[in-house]
Amino acid sequence: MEFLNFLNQEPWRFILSFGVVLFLTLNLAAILVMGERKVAGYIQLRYGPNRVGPRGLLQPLADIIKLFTKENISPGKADLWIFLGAPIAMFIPVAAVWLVVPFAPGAVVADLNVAILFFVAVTSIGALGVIMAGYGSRSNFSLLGALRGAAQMISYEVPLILSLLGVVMLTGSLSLVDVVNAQGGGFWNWYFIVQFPMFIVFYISGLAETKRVPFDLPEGESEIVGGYMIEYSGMTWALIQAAEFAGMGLMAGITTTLFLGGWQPPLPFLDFGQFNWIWFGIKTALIMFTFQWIRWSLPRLRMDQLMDLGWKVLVPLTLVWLVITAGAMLVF
Amino acid sequence: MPQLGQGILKGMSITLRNLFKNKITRQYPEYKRDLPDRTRGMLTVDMDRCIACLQCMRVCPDHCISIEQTKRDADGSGKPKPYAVGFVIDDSRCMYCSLCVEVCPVNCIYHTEEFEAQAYNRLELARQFGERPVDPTIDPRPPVKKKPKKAAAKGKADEKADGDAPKKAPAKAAGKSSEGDAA
Repeated sequence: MEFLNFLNQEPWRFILSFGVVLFLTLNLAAILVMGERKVAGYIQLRYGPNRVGPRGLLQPLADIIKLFTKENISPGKADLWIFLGAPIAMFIPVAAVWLVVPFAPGAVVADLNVAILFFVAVTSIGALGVIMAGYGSRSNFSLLGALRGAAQMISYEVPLILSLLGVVMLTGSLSLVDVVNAQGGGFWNWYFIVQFPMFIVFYISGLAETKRVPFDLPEGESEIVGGYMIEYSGMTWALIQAAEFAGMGLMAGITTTLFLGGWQPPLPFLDFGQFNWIWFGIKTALIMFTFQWIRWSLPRLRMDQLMDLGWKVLVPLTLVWLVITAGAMLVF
Repeated sequence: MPQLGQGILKGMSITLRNLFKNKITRQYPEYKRDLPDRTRGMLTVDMDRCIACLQCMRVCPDHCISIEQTKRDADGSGKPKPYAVGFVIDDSRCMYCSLCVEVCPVNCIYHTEEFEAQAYNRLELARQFGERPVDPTIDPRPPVKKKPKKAAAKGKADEKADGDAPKKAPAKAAGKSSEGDAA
């Protein structure tokens, strides 16, 4: 395997690992769609898809084949470049943020020293994709959905960023690798214990940021029939869906990394060395499951309730907890 | 304050319990439930009993039954009677209203418990019962002629000539009824 050593050199390593991450992100979206449908079925006393393959496990494959063969329709008066660019503008940021997430010790595509800043900056591009989709479709419902999406995503950025600051203060670093390393040695060292209110706020803002159900106003199936993605069909629609589900997976992954110790095992003797990505996977999958569980249990918030929750509850809570954290760091 | 979030927790606990409960879905092709006694499935005809009275064909609101009728001495009584040589039920049009079943004087048309009426072609759903196939695409009851209206529009000169006809008809009817009384 000597001749493969060049893959460890810088441009090749990055290109290869970026390809792997992109592949994993797309697959994650397909698998999450499947998981979503299964969880929805089981919660509603149904089986969910169970015909394609063993226990319906090949359903995502069938879905992808169906979506690839569907015609791609765009409205006649649509702003075509913006219309077609929106799904890409939604998907690329999500895939890009996966680059800074550490999967296992040493297994991170780009160990940025400003990874948290990168995460915050790049996820806000997702709002741009939503606005592009709504504006480019030139449809009233799309525009309504896009406006709601923009309002929601921009106002929930604030508690999202503020809730990160506690972790940043405790770690003293913006690098996700440092954050994970600081949480080693058992689950009592994970930040969700000392930063519990921040964990809850981050989780709720993450739900809002990924437009998941109690905060799915931009989509609003029952009021504005799909919001900004009304006019999409076929593969463009699939890419929007992939971006949403990959964004949900990303938010679960970031929550795990920041508050649940990333790839750190819950107890010190369960350390599998390089195979610690199993712990990262288990924790992320659990968070994803709670996302789905919430989605199929809770009703949607009203727009004013959404804004109230964001600005009047979450932001003050994070500010107060920041002061408490700073005081505690000063004392101890 | 103690009630804060209680509703959310209650709902979430219900959904979590549902996650592990037995599912109530019946997997259809593997599991088929017993149908009720009066199920209206696909129609079938007992051609031995059919007297070709054409009542089912006339009453059908969807025009899905077509019958080709001839006179034939089928029972050997030496007297030719109406006989259905062709009988087709087009299930692609049938709406299972059961009017034909109600109207049949000899109970020869009835519902079965079969309901899986799927086909690749619409014409496959037309089921033939008679000796001779009948084209199911032909409407057994052609629409009422609209010629009288045209004639009226053309001119009122013919009115008097046509006016004789209604007068004759009651006379005929009266004659028939008197015959019936005599018999």
